[in-house]
Amino acid sequence: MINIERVLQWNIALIVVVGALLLSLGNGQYFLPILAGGSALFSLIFVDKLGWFVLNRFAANILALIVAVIPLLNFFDNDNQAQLVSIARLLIHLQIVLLLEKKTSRIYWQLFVLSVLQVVVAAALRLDLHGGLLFAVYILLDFSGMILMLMQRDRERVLQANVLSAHAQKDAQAMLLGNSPARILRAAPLASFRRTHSARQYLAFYLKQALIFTLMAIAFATFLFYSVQRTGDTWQGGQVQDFSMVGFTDSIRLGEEGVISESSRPVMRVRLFEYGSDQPFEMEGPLFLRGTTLHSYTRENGVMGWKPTRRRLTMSLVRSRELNNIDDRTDYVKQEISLEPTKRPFLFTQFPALAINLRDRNRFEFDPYRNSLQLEEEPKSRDELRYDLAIMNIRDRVQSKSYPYENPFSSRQEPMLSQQESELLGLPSERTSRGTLQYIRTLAEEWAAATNDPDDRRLVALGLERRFQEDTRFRYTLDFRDVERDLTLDPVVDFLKNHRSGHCEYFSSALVMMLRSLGIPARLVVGYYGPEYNDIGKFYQVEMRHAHVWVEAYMRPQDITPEMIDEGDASPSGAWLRLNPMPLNSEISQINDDNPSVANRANDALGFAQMLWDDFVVGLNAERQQKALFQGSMDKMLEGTYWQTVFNATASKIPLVRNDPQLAVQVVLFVLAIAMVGYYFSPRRHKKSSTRRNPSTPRTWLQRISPRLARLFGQTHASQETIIIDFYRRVENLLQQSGYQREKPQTTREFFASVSQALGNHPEKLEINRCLDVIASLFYAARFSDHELSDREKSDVISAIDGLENLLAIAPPAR
Amino acid sequence: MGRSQRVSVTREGWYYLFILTFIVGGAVMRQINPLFALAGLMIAPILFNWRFSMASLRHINFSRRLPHRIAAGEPLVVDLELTNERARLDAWQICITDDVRWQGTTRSRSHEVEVLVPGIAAGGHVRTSYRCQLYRRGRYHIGPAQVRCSYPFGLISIRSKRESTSHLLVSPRMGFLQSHWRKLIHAQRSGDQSSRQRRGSTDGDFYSLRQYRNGDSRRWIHWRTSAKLGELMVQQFDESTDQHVAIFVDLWEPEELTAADLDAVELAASFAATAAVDLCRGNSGKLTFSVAGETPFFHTGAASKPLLNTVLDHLATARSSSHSHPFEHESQAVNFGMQGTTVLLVSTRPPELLETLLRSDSTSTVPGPNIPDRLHRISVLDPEFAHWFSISNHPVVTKAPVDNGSANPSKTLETVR
Repeated sequence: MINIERVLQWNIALIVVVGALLLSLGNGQYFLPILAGGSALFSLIFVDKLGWFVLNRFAANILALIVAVIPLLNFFDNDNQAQLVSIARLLIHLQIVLLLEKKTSRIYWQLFVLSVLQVVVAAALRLDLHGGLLFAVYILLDFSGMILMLMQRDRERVLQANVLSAHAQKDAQAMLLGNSPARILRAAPLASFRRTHSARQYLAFYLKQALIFTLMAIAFATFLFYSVQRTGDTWQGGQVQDFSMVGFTDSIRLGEEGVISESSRPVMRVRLFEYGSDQPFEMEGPLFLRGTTLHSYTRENGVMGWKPTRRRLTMSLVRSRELNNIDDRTDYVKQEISLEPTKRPFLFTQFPALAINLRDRNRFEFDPYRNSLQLEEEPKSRDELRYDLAIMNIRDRVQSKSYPYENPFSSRQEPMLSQQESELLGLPSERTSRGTLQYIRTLAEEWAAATNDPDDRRLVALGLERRFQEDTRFRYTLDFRDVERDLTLDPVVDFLKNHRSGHCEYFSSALVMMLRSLGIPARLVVGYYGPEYNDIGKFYQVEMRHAHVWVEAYMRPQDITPEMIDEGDASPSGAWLRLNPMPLNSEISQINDDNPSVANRANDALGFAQMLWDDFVVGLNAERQQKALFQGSMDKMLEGTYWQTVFNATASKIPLVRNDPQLAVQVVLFVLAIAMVGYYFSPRRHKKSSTRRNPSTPRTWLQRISPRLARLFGQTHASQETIIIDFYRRVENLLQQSGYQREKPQTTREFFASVSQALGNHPEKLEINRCLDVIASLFYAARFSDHELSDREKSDVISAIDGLENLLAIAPPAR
Repeated sequence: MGRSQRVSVTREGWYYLFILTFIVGGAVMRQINPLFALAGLMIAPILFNWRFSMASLRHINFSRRLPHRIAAGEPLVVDLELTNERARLDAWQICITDDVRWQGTTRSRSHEVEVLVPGIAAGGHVRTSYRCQLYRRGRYHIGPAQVRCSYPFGLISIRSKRESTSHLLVSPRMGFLQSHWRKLIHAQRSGDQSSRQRRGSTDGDFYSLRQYRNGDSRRWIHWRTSAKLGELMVQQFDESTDQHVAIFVDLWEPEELTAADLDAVELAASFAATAAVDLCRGNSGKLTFSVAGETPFFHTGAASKPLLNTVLDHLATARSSSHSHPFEHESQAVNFGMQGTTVLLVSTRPPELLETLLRSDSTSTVPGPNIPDRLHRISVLDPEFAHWFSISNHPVVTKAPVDNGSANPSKTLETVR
């Protein structure tokens, strides 16, 4: 039989598990929720239900002391994050100890308090959107738990008082049977017995109320959350788990085996705004976001790969020509980037870029040699990083194929120095590449010869890129299990010559090697490519799977056209030509589709929700609050024209309003009139407050469909016959459970009389008889006459049945 | 309704507030947004609890129903009815705390009974009850009741006092009359007692006809029926059981009161009440009942339910006195003169003290009652009392049925009350 305490036990067990899950989202230790879940299940079955294992209070206290001391031993030697994890562990361990104890109201409350503290720690560790959703579930469980705990506390108090009174009654009986029975007349204590009402029938209602309270609490908390003025930057906590950027690396190793799995973990969000507009836009083509560049192709530990240049040329943003202020520029696209917490110092953007809004500029530095923007040192805080830049190479919503070369070593507009050029032309020696570079050179020359003008380096580079894109022999894959490798060959040569299967690193490496073999300086660029545009949130959601490697080839002044300089795609010093040698039929080339499928829309919605969560919940700071809530929306909403615009925009979407506004108004008035007439004649209006639940049409319908479902939702307006049958059945079941079975020829009164007789010297016989009498009288009145039970009588019957249930349950007769 | 309501924070509520303070502090000092959200979500239940409980209680009406009097040891069922006068809002998890207070002495004890009502629908009502086992006779005040609601979260508790107070009289416990009583009273009823006055067969009502037996008076032969049936039939009459009894209860207490003396007073009251019930049950004779104690009581009349009620009401609150005298009223003496009246004196005095008192009364020169020889003296402290009355139906213990307090002589009035 389900009772309140059993439901409370389940509720508390779920609170423990969800609390532990919230913690694990913050610290990445999924062992803890598994442990908590296992303990909760064990407790539910073996402690609470079967009672096979119950930790006594003394043992529980000792155990709690031990589990509290162990994490504290090296607590103060740890950093803040590790201390939080220690606290999280401690809380879960304490909960496990409590779960093994016999449950009382005190234990339930302690478990509840510990779970609230868990949430506090989880909040400090950083909650993402999933954590936020789980948090809502937790609140629902919390509220229902508090309601159930109140009921349990009250019930326990009544039971306890009854037990005390039973003892008092026993003492009085002992006095009576003792040597001086007269003492009972003067010294026997007063005993009182209360009915312990079963609240089981209200359970569904209580849980429904918990849901309503949760929604109300969320609304209230939302209001409070945005009303409280923030005073500065918020602490966003941080995920303690190792957040390395899978996919993006600042070095590449070729020759891996197996399957490369892609992660959908978010890396950053990018928003693009045209100059002078606050409206974000989507690009016509794919978006490339540069991270850093790799220059040297070398062997390390027997594996060939790409390394960044050892040359490091960095300057603060103030000294940087590229990232100076933009007061005199209007031809830019504003790019807002929110980068998730990362351990690497690289920032992502396109070039040329200008600094718009870089708070704490000293943290940023620019490397003009690699054209990369980065942080001065590896990030220590786990905060999300936000920066706004002005981008010059996006025109008409298309990213230019090239961008101007600026000589980092000279203030004059000079072409690339030979020293740099030689680094970008570097090829592995014949010795290390096992004499197979010749193959690359030959192939490059062969492909170059196939272009329109083999002497035009730009056309040659583009020709090689196109060859990779269109040659169907090349296959894009992340699964190398079926790829047969020739380990004696250089991986790039093996790729070009034999298997022709690989991912962006192979294609780009091959193109760089081929370009270099033709004397064209080239380098690999590591960054992100082709993120999906979120139509709802109007931003690009960059995930780890969008990590990409492409090629930049240096175009000398003589390789560029005057038009390129005019359009800003090149400078007199030259240009960097972006080449993306991926097969056109590969997944990576088709990543940015505009398929409006439900899944895509759902994905967009989820991404948008995550953005809102990051910006307006976890990351809401004084500036954003001021801008978004007070200066932005509120001001707009106070303007009269705002609502008119909203109304017009909404109305224009409804065909009837758009075509015939007058008819639309008439329809609305007609519907309103019908609704008012309906209300006037509704039974709700006439039977107000006379019944337990006023009848309402949906409920009545619900009851017609499923009485059980209707009961669950509080429908109590069953027919007279249903009520009678229901309550009589309940009484029969109750008595049957206590061992009283009605014989067929017995009438109800005869049956009750036989029950009364069988009770013998039952201590509650008087009360039971009273309840049975009430039930029998009303049953006969309702069943065998036209008498309709009044609300008062229904209530009496319910009270009597409740009383009977409790009386039979508390002290079952010894038969 | 305008009832005053008291708001208090429950123990759980204080713990909750402590955690909340910690969270709000953390949120404000470190500007941790999830903690702001958590704080908001934790403040909401406190506000909801406060408003919801307050609104729930505001329109709850309360009434109590209980009998006027019960006997000590009998279960008392107090019916409570709660009405929710609101048209829309249901009330949930309402606790009613009723105060049961014994008004025996100046230091009255109070016993709280908490009854729980899971829910009252808007515009509806709920009946519930609680049961008390009251072992002490006396006057009880029940109420005022306190209606409390902590729903839904149990963090804030709203209390409202309902001033309705009910009164209850608890008459002395009904015990078991023993052999001496049966001999004295029941034997008289069955005609064995010589003192019974025979008032003739016609005193009773016609009951039925039966066959003639040897020894039957010929006067009672019903000739018409005998003729019809062809055999002699005699009329039978319901024999009258009228019996005149006078009971004098002497609730005396010594100056130095012990627990045994108190027990004796209670025992005497219990005996008197049980005897009164026995005499009023199926007896239409005259009953004289006198109680000497703090407030003297004298009543005489036909043994009937009204008389019994009056006697029991008085016995419920009768108190002993060190200055009491069993025959305080002049009018009491009249009863002794009535022929056929059985006179009993039930006293809490030790037997020897009682004898001394009666002897001094009979030789007294001052006007007083004439103590008849047929007066049955019953001292509660006499071991013989066990043959008159027992508080339980346990086998009679002849020796020392009453605790004389010798085991703990220091147990005086102050300590036992």
